[in-house]
Amino acid sequence: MKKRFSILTVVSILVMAFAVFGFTMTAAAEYPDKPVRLTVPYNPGGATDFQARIVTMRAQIHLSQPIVIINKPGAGGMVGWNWIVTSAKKNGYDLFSYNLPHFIAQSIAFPKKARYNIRNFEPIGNWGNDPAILVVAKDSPFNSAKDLIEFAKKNPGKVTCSGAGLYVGHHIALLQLNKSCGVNVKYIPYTGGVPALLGVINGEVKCGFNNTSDAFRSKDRLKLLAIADLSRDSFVPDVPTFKEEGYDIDDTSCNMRGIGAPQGTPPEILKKLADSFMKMCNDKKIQGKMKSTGSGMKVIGRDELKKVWQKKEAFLKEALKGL
Amino acid sequence: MFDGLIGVVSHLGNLFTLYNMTILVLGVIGGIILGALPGVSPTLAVALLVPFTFYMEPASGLILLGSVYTSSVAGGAISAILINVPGAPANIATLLDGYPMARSGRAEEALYTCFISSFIGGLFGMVIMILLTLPLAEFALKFRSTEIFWVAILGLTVVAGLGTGNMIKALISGAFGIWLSTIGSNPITGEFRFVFHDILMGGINIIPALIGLFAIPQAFSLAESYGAQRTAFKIQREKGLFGKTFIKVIKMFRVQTVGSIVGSIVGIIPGVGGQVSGIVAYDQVKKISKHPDKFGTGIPDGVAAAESANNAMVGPSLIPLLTLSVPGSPTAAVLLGGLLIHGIFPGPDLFRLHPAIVHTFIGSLVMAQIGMFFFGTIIARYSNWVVRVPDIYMSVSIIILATFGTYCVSNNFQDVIVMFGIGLIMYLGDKFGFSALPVVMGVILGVIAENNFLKAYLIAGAGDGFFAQFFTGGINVIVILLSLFSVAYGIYSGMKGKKAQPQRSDIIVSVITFVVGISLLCSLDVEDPLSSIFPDATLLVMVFLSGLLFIMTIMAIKKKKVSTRGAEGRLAFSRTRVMITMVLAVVYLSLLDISGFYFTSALFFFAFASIIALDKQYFFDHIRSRVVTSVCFVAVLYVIFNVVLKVQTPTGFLF
Repeated sequence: MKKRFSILTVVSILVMAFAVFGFTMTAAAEYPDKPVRLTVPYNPGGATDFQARIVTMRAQIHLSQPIVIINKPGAGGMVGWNWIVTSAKKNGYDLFSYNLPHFIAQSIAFPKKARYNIRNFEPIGNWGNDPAILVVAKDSPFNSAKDLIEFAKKNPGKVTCSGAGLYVGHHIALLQLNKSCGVNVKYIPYTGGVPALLGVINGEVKCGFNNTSDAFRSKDRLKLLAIADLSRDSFVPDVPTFKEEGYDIDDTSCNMRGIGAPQGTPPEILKKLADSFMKMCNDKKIQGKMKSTGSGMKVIGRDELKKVWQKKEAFLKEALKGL
Repeated sequence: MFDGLIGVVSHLGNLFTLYNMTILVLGVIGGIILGALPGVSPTLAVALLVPFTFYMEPASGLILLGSVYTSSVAGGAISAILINVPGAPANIATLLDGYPMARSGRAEEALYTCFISSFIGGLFGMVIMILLTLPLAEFALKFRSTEIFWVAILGLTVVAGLGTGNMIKALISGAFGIWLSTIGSNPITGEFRFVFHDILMGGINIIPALIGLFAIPQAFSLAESYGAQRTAFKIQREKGLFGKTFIKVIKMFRVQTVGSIVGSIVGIIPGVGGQVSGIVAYDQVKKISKHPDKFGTGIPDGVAAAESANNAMVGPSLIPLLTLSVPGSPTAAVLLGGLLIHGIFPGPDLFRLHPAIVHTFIGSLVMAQIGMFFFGTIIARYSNWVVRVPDIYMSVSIIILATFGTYCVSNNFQDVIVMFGIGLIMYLGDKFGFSALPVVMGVILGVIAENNFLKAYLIAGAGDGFFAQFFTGGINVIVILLSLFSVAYGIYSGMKGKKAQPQRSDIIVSVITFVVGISLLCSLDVEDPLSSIFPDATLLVMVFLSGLLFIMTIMAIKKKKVSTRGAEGRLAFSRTRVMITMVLAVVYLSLLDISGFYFTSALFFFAFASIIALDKQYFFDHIRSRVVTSVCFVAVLYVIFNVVLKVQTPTGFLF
C-alpha cells in the first residue's frame, strides 16, 4: 500500500514538473506559432457564431494555425467588444467578430457604456451579408410594401414592426423607412431574430424586418415584401428591393459580418491576417458550406472595409440623432 | 397521425450501422458525464459539440447531437442527487428529494428512480412528438408575448410553496431573484440598471447564478461541519435493489403520468419550457399527493416527478424547431445551427425533402433514451464512490467545479466572480432560513416575464389597448385562472399546514431586507419609465414583505411564541473553518488569472484539504495522498474541459 502511493506521488510530481516546464518553454517564432482566438460576442449556435466557425474551419491550411472560437455574449455584444478593447492581447492572437451596423450603432447609442468605437478597432475582412427584409404574415391583407406603407400613412402610430433587437440592422432599416416615407411605424425590439419572426407569424405585430436567411426558411408562413439592399438576393430572387418599389432605402441596414483585431496589433500581423482571411473566404469548400447553410457572402478586404466602417459610422451618427 | 411513427421505424436501419451506433453510445455516455458537471447545461454541451459534426455525415452528426441532448438532461440529475448542485436549471427540482435520499444512504436508489423515470418520461415525450407533431406545432404558435408573460407569472406563483416553511421568506427570496434578473442592460428599452460595477454590465446569467446559489452554500456547509458526526448509515450495496426500485417506480403510476404530461405541455411553450418543466411538475405532484408534507424529506416520488417531467420535455421542445424552423428553447436554437451546417433547413418541407435524415434523427433520440437508461443505471451502481468521498475533498471539488463550469458558459472570468458573490450572499441567507430555489425561479422567470411584458405593453399601446392585450384570448384567461388557483391554494395550504415559528433573528433579517430594498429602489436611475416598472414593482413587494415579516415577528415575540432554536441553532458551527474557507476561496479567485486555472486549482485543492481540518497531526499525516488526489482531480478536469470541450481557460504565467 505504502509503496503504491510513493510511485503515484513520484508520477504526479513528474507530471506537474513536466507541465510547468512545457508551458514556460514558449520560444519566440514567426507569427502565428499557436492557435489564434476569435471572440464572438454572441451565444454559441447563433448565426454569427456558426458562420464564424465555417469561415475559420480551414484556418490550419490558410493561416498555418487553427482559429479557436470563444463566445463572450452579453448586453447585445457589448460585453465581448468591450473585453477586446480593455483586456485582449494586441499581438494578433486575439481577434473578434463584428456585426454591422449593430456594433457601430451601439457605440454611438451608449457612449458611456461602450468602451470601443471604430477607431480603437482594426478591420481585417468581411465575410457575410444578410440584408433586412420586410415581412408580413401569410394571412395579412398587405401584399406589397406599398400597401403597408399606405396603411401606415393613414394610421400613424398604429402599425408595429418587430426586429431582432435595439440598434440592429432591422431597427436601422425601419428608421430609414419611417424617414423616407414620412410614416410612424413603431419598432418592437425582440430578443433575437427568430422570436421576432414568430411575432410576425402569430400576428402579434403587423410586420417585421428580419434576416433574409431566416425569413427564407419560414417563407411558407410569410409574405416577403421588399428587401433593403441595392440588388436582389440570390436566395429570394422574386423579392424586389425598396429602390425598385420607389422608396429611398439603401443597403446601410444590411447585417454584415466579419472579423477585426484590437488597435495596436502590429501592421505586418494585420496584413498577414487580412491575406489569410481572403484565402479562407475564397476557399471553394468554405464557400460551398456557406451556400448550403443559406448564408449570403460578401467578401471585403481590409482597406476597403475601413472605408465601409467610416461611411456607416457617419450615416448612423446622423440617423440616431433623434433617438 | 401515424406517418411519423412509420417513418421512424422504416429508417431505423440507418441507425444500426456500426459507425452510427458507436457515435450514439459515445454521445450518450459523454452526454451523461457532461450533463453531470455543474454549469455544463444541455445547451452548452450541444453547442460545444456542434463543431465536431462539421466533418461528419449529416445523419451521424445529428445522432451525436440528439444523443448528447437527451442524455445530458438526465445527467444533470446525478450532481443534483449526489452533491446537491443541479447540473442545469432543468434539474433544480430533482435535488429537493434526491439529495436527502443520498444523504441518508439511498443514493443508488435515488439514481435508479431518476433514470427509470427519465426513461419513462423521455419515451412519453418522444411518442407525443412523433404522433402529434402538427397539432402541437400550431399550439406552440399560439404563444405570443402576453401568453408567455402569464406563463412566467404562473411559474412564479409556485415560488411561495418552495421555501423551507416560511412563506414570506420564500416570497422575499423570489423577489430577490427577480431583482437579480433585472441587472444589466434591458434588451427592450436598451437601458442599463443596477450596474454598480462594470462586471455587472452583461447582467446575471442564469447558469452562473444557479451554480453560485447551490454550489457555494453546499461547499461551505460541508467545510463548516467537518468532523461533525454524520448520520451513521451503512453504505452497503443491497442485492436486487434495481429490481425493487423498478417495481416501486412503475407503481407510481400517478406521479409518472402527471410528470410526463405536465413536462410535455410545458416543454412546448417557447422560451419557458425546458427550464421549469421539472419544478412545475414537482409542484403539481405534491399538490395532488396524499402526503404533501413528506415531499422534500427524501421520497422517491419527488425525484420521479421532476425527472419524468424534464425528460418528457425533450421531444416536444423540438417540435417548433423541426416543423416551423422556430426553436422553442435555447438548446433547440443550438440544434438549429447544427442542422443548418449540414444544409438541412427545418420547416414544413423538412419531412418531405430529407425524410431519411429527420427520421434517423428522431430514431436516434428514441434510441438515446434507451442508451441513457442503460448507462445511467450502470453509473448509479458506482454512485457510492461519490458518497464515500470525504467531506473536505467534496467541498473543495465543488468550489473548483463551480469555477470551471461557470467559466466555460461564456469564457468570462467576471462570471466566476459574480457566481462567488451570489453564492456568499446565498450562504448567509441560508443561515437565516432563506432557500435557493425561489431565488433561482426568480432569476429564470423574471427576465422572461419582464421582456414579454414590455413587448406586449409597447404593442398594446399601438393597438387594442392594455386590457385587451393582456386579459383576452383563450390561453391568457386559462393561464391567469391557473395562477389565481395556484395562489389561492398556496395561501390555503399555508394556513392549514404547519406554520414555521418566527425566530428572534427574523427581526434583524427583516430590517436588513427592508433597508436593502429601499436603497436599491433609490439607486435605480433610468430615463425611460418602462425600464423601472418591473424593478420598482419587485422591490416594493420585497419591502412590503420585509415589513410584514417584521410585524409578524414582533407580534409573535409579544405572544412569546418564538422559536428558541432555529437560526440560533443553525449558527452554531465552526466560524474559524468558514473564515478559512472564505480566505482560501478569495486567494484562489485572485490567483486564477495570474498563475493559470489548472495550476491554481491543484494548489487550492491541496491547501484547502490540508488546512481545513485544523489539525496539526492530520496536516503531516497524509500529505502524499492529498498531493496525488489534487493532481489527479485537476488532470481529470483538464481532460474534460481542455481536451474534450476545448474550453480555453486563462493560463497566466503557468497553466
